Amino acid sequence: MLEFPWREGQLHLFQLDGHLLLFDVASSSLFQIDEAAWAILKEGKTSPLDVALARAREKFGPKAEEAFYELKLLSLKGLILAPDPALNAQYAPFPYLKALCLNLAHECNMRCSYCFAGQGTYGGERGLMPPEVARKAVDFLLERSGPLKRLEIDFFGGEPLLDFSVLKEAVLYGKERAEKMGKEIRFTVTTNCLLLSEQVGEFLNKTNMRVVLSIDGRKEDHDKNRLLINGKGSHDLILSRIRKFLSSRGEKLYYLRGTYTAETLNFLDNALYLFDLGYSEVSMEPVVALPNEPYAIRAEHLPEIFRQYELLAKEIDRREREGRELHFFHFEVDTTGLTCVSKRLSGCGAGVEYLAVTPSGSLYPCHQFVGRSDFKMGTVWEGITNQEKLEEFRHLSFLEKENCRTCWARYLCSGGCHANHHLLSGNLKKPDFIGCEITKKRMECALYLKLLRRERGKGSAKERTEGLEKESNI
Amino acid sequence: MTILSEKIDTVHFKLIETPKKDLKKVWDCRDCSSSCQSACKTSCTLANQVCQRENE
Repeated sequence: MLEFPWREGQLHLFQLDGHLLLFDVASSSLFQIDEAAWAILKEGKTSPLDVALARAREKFGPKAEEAFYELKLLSLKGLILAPDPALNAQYAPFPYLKALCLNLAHECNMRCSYCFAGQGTYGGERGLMPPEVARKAVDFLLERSGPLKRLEIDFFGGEPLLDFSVLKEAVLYGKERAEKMGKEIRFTVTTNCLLLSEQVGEFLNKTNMRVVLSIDGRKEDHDKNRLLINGKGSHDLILSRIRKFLSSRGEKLYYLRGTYTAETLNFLDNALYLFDLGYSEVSMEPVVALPNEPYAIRAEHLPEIFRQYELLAKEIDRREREGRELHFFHFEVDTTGLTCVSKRLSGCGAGVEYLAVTPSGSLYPCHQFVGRSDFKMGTVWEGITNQEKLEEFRHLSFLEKENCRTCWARYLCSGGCHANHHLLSGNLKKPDFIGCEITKKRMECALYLKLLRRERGKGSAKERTEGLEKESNI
Repeated sequence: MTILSEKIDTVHFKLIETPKKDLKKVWDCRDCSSSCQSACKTSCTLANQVCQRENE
């Protein structure tokens, strides 16, 4: 049923590079529209049906009638102004665990200036995870996973390859135990690449592990922040490790992950640099920092950041027209195969479905909460002892978050990152403005890239991802 | 007004993408992956997550 004025957060109308786009929030449908349709919908945000149509008719004549008729039909089909499936409901996830982040090392062999983890220590003591803690963490995940079949473990730090033997043991132990229980664990490692030797690479390839390789891009930008312990830049060393490793990997299941800061806002150059080195999987993330840090991203940086994302979408399109296939992580939004609404309401699942484990076996809601003592939830030995915290996170859907209920991006970002909200606003339910603005702009550019790809007759992001998954037998 | 059988392109609205399934029909299978096990590890969102069950 078409109702004007439509409510805030039902539709998102936006223009990019002269194209008019409409995203229907509840049905997750994306349209390119013409000026007559745009005029009706724009006016319909504040005016009743007859007024919106009359104003559009003044400018577009019979075309406005035609667009209005089509709009009504698409509304009947549930593709535009579809009823919201969740606004009057509450869907708390089951307290089953499906993913663990194992901080194998609260220690690092680099000294990156912007590190949110305090150069690996998270504000505590340096240390490596003993094998018995890693094994116990695997047991804890499997035992707490209930009926879930697909589980995940991500190795993180500090630098998780500082003790490769523990990583190896956890993977082999996890695979064996999961198989006996009829489950499957997917493993990922995030590394600064310094210890990415041939032997390590062989193991990662053989076990089909996903890898996230940290590199910020061009030497001059990377070396501003990603420093070795001796204070020297790490770019050349890291790039040589990445080249060797990826040549053995066959271009699958990896991302080159960079961080941009207020001092390196030109992430476009850095993403293109990585693409132009011949790699197709790239991610660039805004730094996580308190506002008083000189490298923290502030509101005045947003226009430049938006410009960078727009240019990046166009540059990716240009290179793809020349025959490349490129994936920028945040532009690979798939609206055709989304997870169901219950999952999209509950977000990343931190504190409930997803927990982080420190080297001593303490549990936190996610890797970013590690070291914030109020958020300690228990240990792998005792299990969850802080039930109150578990329940708090279990009910932390976007329906509970300030401004999210009426935000057009709510089903795509699910209320965003709890840890960032807490760090920047001191409140889990209060999203940080800058993070939200960046997320929304990235979504717009991702949707725009879909239009460009469709014009070229290219498959969806999901179809291309499925190709990768099949190739690697995952 | 022309509605093509699959693409649903009309004169004024060109459909670029829409979900292939009713997002409400598969509540709580919970087989989807955790969004944090991804390439970002910061500013995590669900945008890149797809239904695992659909891949079977």
